[in-house]
Amino acid sequence: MADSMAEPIVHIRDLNSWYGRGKDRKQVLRGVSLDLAPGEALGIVGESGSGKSTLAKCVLGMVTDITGELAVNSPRPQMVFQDPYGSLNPAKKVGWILEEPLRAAGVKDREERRRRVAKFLSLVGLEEGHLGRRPAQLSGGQRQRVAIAAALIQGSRLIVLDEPVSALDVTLQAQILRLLADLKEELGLSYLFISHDLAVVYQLCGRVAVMTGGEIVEEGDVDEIYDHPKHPYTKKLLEASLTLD
Amino acid sequence: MMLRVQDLSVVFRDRAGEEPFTAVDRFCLTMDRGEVVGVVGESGSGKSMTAHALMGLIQRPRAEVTGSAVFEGTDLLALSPEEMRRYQGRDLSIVFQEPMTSLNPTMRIGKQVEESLRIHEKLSRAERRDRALDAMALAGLPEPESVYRQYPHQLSGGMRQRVMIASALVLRPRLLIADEPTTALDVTIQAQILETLKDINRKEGTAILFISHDLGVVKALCRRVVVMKQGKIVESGAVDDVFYHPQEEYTKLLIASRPARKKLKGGRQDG
Repeated sequence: MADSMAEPIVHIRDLNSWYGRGKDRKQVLRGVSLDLAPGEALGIVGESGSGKSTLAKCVLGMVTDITGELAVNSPRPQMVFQDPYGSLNPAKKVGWILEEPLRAAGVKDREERRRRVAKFLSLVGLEEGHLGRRPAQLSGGQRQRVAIAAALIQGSRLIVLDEPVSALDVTLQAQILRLLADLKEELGLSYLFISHDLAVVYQLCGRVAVMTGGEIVEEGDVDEIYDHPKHPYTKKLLEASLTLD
Repeated sequence: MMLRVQDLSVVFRDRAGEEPFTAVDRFCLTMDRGEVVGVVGESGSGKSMTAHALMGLIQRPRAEVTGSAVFEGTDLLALSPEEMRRYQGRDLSIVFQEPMTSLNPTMRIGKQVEESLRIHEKLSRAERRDRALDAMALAGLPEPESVYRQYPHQLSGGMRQRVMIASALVLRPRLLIADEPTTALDVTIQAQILETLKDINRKEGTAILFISHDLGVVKALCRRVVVMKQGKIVESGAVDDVFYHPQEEYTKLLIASRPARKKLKGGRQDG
């Protein structure tokens, strides 16, 4: 459970970021502030160009042209991307893909690596038979499970999920969201969940921040934002989401 | 009745000795003039292949297309590619998911919208321009005159999709096939494009066959829906019946899988 008294796992105050240099230098994030408590899942919702993926990259230390406060209190925070096809090495087998982060983290004992691979493989619902396959020999859902296992295997407590289910069919989407909810509970993970889809965020996150034009325009409890959106952009987003009701 | 599709099948026989692959298996559908019908399914369900087969866009040596698709008295599937070309764009046209790859990046927008006019009708340049500008206005492009002179890279994704819709509508087809036309767009832009398609249907009486993986989008636009899985029709009927009282397990699964307003609690029931 989220513990509001504990030190936040992500602490951001008045963060600005830029891309490019010289006269092409463009500001992307404008005065973003947020906190993520250990064990909490925070949704970041916005459309293309809102700055949500840039915010994710800042948290992972991938953007250097920044001002403001940014503190991340988790070893090796990791990211799960939208397209597992693009993020998994197509030439390597699943076994290698999962062992590689452990090698990078300096786990020298081969048996120890194998043991951890087996543990995380089963945690994400895959079987030993998958270890010998390459990404192209897996379904979209299985590939995303591999990407999630690879992100978790170094023992990260903080996972940034950048549209992790957007490229999946709706039945697979439901399975992967279920898996993410289970893993969060079992491993006590914190999620920063980036999505254009408010309904997906609702299922996993207690709190949500709405972004547009590089700013957080509204932030709070998901139920509160669903029922009483204050910012016109949040209202517009909610009206545009299509339900069956 | 405008369109009657009976037992449409698409079978691929890529290599000698390999098992043939049935992408569409005995698809049946009837559509009246001005009707809006949705086809929903997941990846590999055959929904796009069905649309391509109706448009005559499947290369025959690669695949075998059987069955019939009688459109205003003519069986489209019995036509030669040359005969089919007279219908494409004029009587029925298609809009695809990815507007950037369907537009020519080196050609001005106006020219691309006019292309099917050049193929199908003998008009003066001024007449073509007028017709193109009309179609662009109908597709909801603001300031058609200035967009007419622009190139695709100068437009946003939503604008590009409106250009595709304008090109598809310039000859006033009776049937528009829309293959996931809003899937690559942000939700607020998607909502605008759906409104535009509704307007076109209302003003012009254009029938729309709307292909989508998204039940919510189909619900917003269509009155009738066909659910496909692995090339076959699983269930079909009025949108309200199918979505609120699904009869088939697969339809129920599709509906239950939609992100709804429910919280997922962690912790597995077993193992």
